[in-house]
Amino acid sequence: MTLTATRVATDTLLTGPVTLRPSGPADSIAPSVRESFDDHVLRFGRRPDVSAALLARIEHEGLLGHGGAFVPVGVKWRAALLRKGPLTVVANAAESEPLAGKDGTLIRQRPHLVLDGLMIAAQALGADRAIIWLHGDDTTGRAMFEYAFRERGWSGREVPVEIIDGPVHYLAGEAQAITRATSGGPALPFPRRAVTDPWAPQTIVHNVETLARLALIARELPNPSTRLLTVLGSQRMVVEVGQSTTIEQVLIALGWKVAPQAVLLGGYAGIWAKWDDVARLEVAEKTMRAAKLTLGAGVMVPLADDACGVRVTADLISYLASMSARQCGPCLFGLPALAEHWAKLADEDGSYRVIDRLRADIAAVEGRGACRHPDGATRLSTSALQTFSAHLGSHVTGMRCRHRSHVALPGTSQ
Amino acid sequence: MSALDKPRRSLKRQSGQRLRVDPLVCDGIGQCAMAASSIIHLDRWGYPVIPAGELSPADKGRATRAVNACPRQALWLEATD
Repeated sequence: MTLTATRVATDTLLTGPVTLRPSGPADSIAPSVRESFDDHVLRFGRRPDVSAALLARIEHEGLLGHGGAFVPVGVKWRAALLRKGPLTVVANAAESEPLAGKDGTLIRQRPHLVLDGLMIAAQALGADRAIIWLHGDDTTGRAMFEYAFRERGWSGREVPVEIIDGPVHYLAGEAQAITRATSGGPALPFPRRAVTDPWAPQTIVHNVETLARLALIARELPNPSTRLLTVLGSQRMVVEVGQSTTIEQVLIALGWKVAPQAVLLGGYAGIWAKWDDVARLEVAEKTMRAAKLTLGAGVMVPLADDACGVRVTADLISYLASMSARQCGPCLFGLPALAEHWAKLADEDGSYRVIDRLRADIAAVEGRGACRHPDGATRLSTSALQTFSAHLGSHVTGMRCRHRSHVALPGTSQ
Repeated sequence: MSALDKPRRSLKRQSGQRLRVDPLVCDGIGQCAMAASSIIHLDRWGYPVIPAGELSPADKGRATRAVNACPRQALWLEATD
């Protein structure tokens, strides 16, 4: 029997959808299919040798970052190639957002595609160091990579890639925090400032999904036109859908029978949107941005019709305040103030004046933090005031909220 | 340094400047707002709210006083272009 290298491409990044444990690392409830090194090589062929010329192909394909910010990969590469200092390339697999699970699922199902992507980026950019950055509690993720190393016959000094466990903290997956940590500092975000010394060490951080897509593009295989989503319903699920799938179609496919009242887009520091405003929107980031929304790292939390959005928002803001880096005044004092206002509203312990004070504090915090963490909390607050404006009335007029106040928000320890 | 330097300096196009604060360094001591109360006010937690955008020639002197007043050296002037 002869083996024909068919190089069967793939039209999906995942090997299949998974149901995850409610929060934390992307450990699935039932085992999912993990692609072995042999299967990986059969399907995609060996990792090609690349040079900086790969940049042209990346820009032609329009590869964007998939960590949530959608920065073109070509922009990061151009900046890196202009500078002369030692370069570290990081594969960011730390999903600090308590609900996000698409990256963890990808490294469990196709670790070799991610490893290839990291090594391709390191080779093309002439990097001195390649790092896999994990969330501190992702022990399965670490085991998956260590197993993948053994499959490749890497051991001892032959391992070209380091694995680093970051801290267990909401900000541990933030690119600037990783940059700071890999150069010996604390894993906390810091304000971006122009680096003037071209010889200064530099770090480039790529999300693992971005790297998997890069590994396909470098092989001249098609980059799947899909979006990975983590959806929290009665269960936390990771699915891969076509870019033109609507939000309503995603929920129907996941077994929702009744329309929710609103959806939280992007995760705990995301944006609330009314169901009727987003049901027919495609999940493609381009469509979301055109509607002044974003799905960020692909997290969606539909809010059932009988649940209290004010209470949920209060819980979320309190969680974000507890996850401050405690580095600057607007965050250290501003976020607890926002949390206090929301708690008052949720407890029906105030009048319209609380809403006024909330709005004033949102304005006082917005854009003034050392990093973007406080802006996540102000954006969530603003979108909640809009989305739940009608329901807020019952919280400040003494009419009593008749909605279900208990909504499980995994990871927030409510 | 001769007197001839002076006319040349006045002909040079003045570039715009803006005031910046490093929130990591700022401890909310409030000296900046005392030194330049017309352009800097403090939020309700005592941290300065810095004017966005280019400073007018009149405000530039006030901003410089604020920069010099900060015991943490958290403020600086930056060219806008």
